[in-house]
Amino acid sequence: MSIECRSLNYVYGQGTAMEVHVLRDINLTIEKGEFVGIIGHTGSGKSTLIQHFNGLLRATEGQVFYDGEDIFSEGYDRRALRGHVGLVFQYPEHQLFEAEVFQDVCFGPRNQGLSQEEIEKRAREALNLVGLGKEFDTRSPFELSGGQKRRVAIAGVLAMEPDYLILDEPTAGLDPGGRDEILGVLRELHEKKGIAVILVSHSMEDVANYVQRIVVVNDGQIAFDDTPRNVFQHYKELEAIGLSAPQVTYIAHALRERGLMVDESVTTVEEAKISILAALHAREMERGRNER
Amino acid sequence: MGIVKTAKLVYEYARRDEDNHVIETVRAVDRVDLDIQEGEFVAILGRNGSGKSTMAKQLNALLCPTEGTVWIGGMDTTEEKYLWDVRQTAGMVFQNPDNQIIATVVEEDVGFGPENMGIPPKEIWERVDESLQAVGMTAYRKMSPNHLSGGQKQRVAIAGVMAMKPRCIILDEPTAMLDPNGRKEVIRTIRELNREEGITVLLITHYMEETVDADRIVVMDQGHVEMTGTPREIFSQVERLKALKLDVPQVTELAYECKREGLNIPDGILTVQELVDALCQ
Amino acid sequence: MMKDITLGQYYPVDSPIHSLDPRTKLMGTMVYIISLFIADNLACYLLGIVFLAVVIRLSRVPLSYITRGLKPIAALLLISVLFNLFLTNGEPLYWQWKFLKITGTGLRQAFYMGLRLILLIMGSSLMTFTTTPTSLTDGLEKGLRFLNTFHVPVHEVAMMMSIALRFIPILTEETDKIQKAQMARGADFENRNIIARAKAMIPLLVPLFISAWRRATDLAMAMEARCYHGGSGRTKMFPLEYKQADRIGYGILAGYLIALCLLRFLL
Repeated sequence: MSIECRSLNYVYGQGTAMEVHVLRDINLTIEKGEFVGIIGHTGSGKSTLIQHFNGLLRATEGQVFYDGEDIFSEGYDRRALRGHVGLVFQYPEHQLFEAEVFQDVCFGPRNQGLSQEEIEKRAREALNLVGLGKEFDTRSPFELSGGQKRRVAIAGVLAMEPDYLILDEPTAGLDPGGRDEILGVLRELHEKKGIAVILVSHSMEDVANYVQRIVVVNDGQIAFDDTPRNVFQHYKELEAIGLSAPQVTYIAHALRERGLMVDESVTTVEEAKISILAALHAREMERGRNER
Repeated sequence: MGIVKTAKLVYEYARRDEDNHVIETVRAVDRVDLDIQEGEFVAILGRNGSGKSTMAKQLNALLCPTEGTVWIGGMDTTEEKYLWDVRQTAGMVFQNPDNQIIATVVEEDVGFGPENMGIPPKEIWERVDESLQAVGMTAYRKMSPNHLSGGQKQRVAIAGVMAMKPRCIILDEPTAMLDPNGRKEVIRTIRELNREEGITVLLITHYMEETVDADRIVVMDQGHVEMTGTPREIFSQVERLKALKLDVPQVTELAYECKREGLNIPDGILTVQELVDALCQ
Repeated sequence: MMKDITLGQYYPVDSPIHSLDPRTKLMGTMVYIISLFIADNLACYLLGIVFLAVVIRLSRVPLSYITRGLKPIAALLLISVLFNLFLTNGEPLYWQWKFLKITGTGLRQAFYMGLRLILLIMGSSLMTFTTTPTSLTDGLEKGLRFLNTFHVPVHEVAMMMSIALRFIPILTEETDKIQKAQMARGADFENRNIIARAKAMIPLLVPLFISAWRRATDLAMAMEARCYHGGSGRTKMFPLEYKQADRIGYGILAGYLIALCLLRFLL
C-alpha cells in the first residue's frame, strides 16, 4: 500500500501571463504506516504537493498512484480515494459548520454513504481517538478552544477511517500547550492505529520529535528526503533555503568546534543531554589517563 | 508614573445560555498591576486564554475595565474626552494581518490613522513616508496588500500605527499567524523601532524565543500576573514555566537538564554561546 | 484573477484623462450615457462616436483593451439587436414569418440599439480604465455629499465600497479553501441535482459566513483602534480639488451636450 508520485509537475495558471511552475519533477513514495514530515517555507510548494495525494489537484504532468492505480485514470473514484487519504487543511476550524460537535464529525462518513449506525460508531470512535469525550457531543464547535476545535476537525477526517492522514500546518497559531496536544494525538494515531501520518510544517523543532522521515521541499523540488538525523546534518544548506535545524543541532556543532566530542546528529533535547554527558565523561577519563 | 500603568485591573464578562440567562461570570483579567516606563520593551507571555489579549484591549480603551484603572500617558482610559488621545498614544497591532488592513493600496492604508485624526494632507504624506521607511516597506508602497507575505502585511500594519506618532505600541500576538521567516522579520522591525525611535513596546506572544531580548517579561496565567522579571530570571525557572504550559528555548531547557544531572552550569542560559562557554571551561 | 480585483480594470498610464478629478469623470460618464439616450439620428450618433474616439485617444488606453470589455456582454447585445430586428412593427415590411418580421423601422432600431449599447459599455468602462477604485469611491463620496442633507450616509457607503474591494479577493480565496476542505471530507459540489447541490452549499456557506463575521468584528476593532469615528473631522490623503483641466473638461462636456441637442432637435 502506498502513495506514489511519479515525475509530478504542477504549473499554476498555465498559458496565462501569471504562469508559475509550482512543482518540478517530484518523485516520492510514502508507504502505509509511515510518519513523515514535509518541510518547506511558505511558497515552496508543499501545500500544493499534498493536494495531489487525494486528487484535489491534478498534475500538469506525471502521475499519482494510490495502491498502484493512477488516480486520474478513466473511471477512478476520487471521492472514495478521499476516504482513504484524509486531508486536514490549515486552520481546520474553517471547515466546522454543524451546530454540534458530534454532527460535524458525522459529515465525512455520511458522505461515504454508510448506514446511520456505522456513521455514529465511526464518529464516536474518532472523537475518542482525539481525546474528546461524550460531554463534547452536543457542544457547539464554535465555542471550543483553538486546540479543541482543531481536534474536532481532525476527528471529522478520522471518522472516514483513512489509511493516510495528511495535515497542513496543524499547529499554526496554537500556543505550546495546544501544539503538544495535537502532536500527541497524531503520535498516538500513528502508534496505536497504524495510520500513516503526513505532517506539513515549517517548524523543524516541532517535527524532529515526532517523525521518522523528513521530506524538505524547496522551490517546488525535493531538496532532502531522509531521517531527521541525516537531514539536519545539512543545517547549513537548510539555512540557505530559509529553514533551520533545531537549536540542539547548532549546540552540538558549536560544542564540537570547541573540542567537546558530542554526537553532532542529535535532534532532541533528550538526545543532546545524553550525548553531552557521555562526551564529558569521556573527557574526564581522557584527562585522568593523561595525568597518570 | 510610567507611560502604561494599571492598578488592580479587572475585566469580567458574563457567559449566557440560549435564553440569555447568565450562566457564570468569567474573570478574564484579575487584579493586574503594571507600570511600564517610556522606552521599555516589555513582553507579556501566556498561553491562550490567559487573559493577555483581553488586557491589551483594555489598554487601548477598546474594552473598559470592570474594576481598577488604566492610565496611558497619565490619561485615565475611561474618560470620554481622552478616548482618541489614548488610542493615538498607545497604538495597537493585532494578530491577523488581513483583518486590520483597510485600504487596497499599502500607502493609503498607512495614511488611514492620520486621516481619521484630521491631519492636513501634506503632513499625512510626510508621516506615511517616514513610517514606511521605519518598517522598511517603502519599496512596496504602491502595491496591493493582497500581494504581500504575512510578515510584510504585519509591517504595513505597524507602519499604520507609527503614522499616528504613538509613544507606545501594543502588539497583540502579531506573529501567531506567520511562518518562521515572517516572525523574525516582524520581531526585528519591532526591536528596531524600540531601539532607534525610542518607542515603548508591549509585545504579547506565546513564542518564547521572541521574548529573549525584552527588558522585562510578564508571565500571565488565568488572568493574573504569575511571574515578572528579566528574561534570565524568568527562564531560569524551567519547571514553573512548563507547569504553566509554556515553552523555554531548547538551549535553556538543555542547560537545565544538564544541571539537574549534576553539571556545574549557571541558571537561565539564553544563548547557544552561553551554554557552550559553560560546558567548555 | 480575483486577487487583482483591487486594481479593478485600472490601466496605469499618465494621461490627461487619468489626471482628471474623478467627479469630472463620473459626471462625464453620466452626461455621455444621457446623450446616448437623447440621440435618435445618424448625425447624433456620429457625434457620439467622434467624442468617444477623441476621449479614448486622449486616455492612451489601447482600443483593444476597451473592446475586450464587450465580450462578456456579447450575448446580451446580440439578443437585444435580434429582438429589435425581428419584433418591431413598422414600415416598410421586407419579410415576415409568423410573428417574426423585418421592417425598415426595425432595421434602424436594431442598428441604433446595438450602437448605443456598444458606446455605452465602452464609455463607462473607459472610466474604470482611467480611475482607480479608491479615487472612484472618493469621487462618489465627495460628489454625492449633497445627499447628506437628505440623511443619506454617503461617507459610510463609500467606506463600505472600499472595504468590499479589499475583502472580496480574500473571501474568494477562502471560499476555495473551504470548498477543498469539505471535498476532502467527501462533499460533492458537482452533483447535477439542484436540491442536492443546494444542500451541499451549507457546509461551504456556514464556515464562510462565520469567517466573514469574524473578519468584520476584527476589522471594526482595528479601525476603532486607529481612531476611526466616521466621516466628520476626517482629512483625506488625496483631497479632491477641481483644477484647470477639470474646468476645461466640464466646458467640453457642456459643448458636446449642447451640440448633440441641436442635432437632435433641429435636424
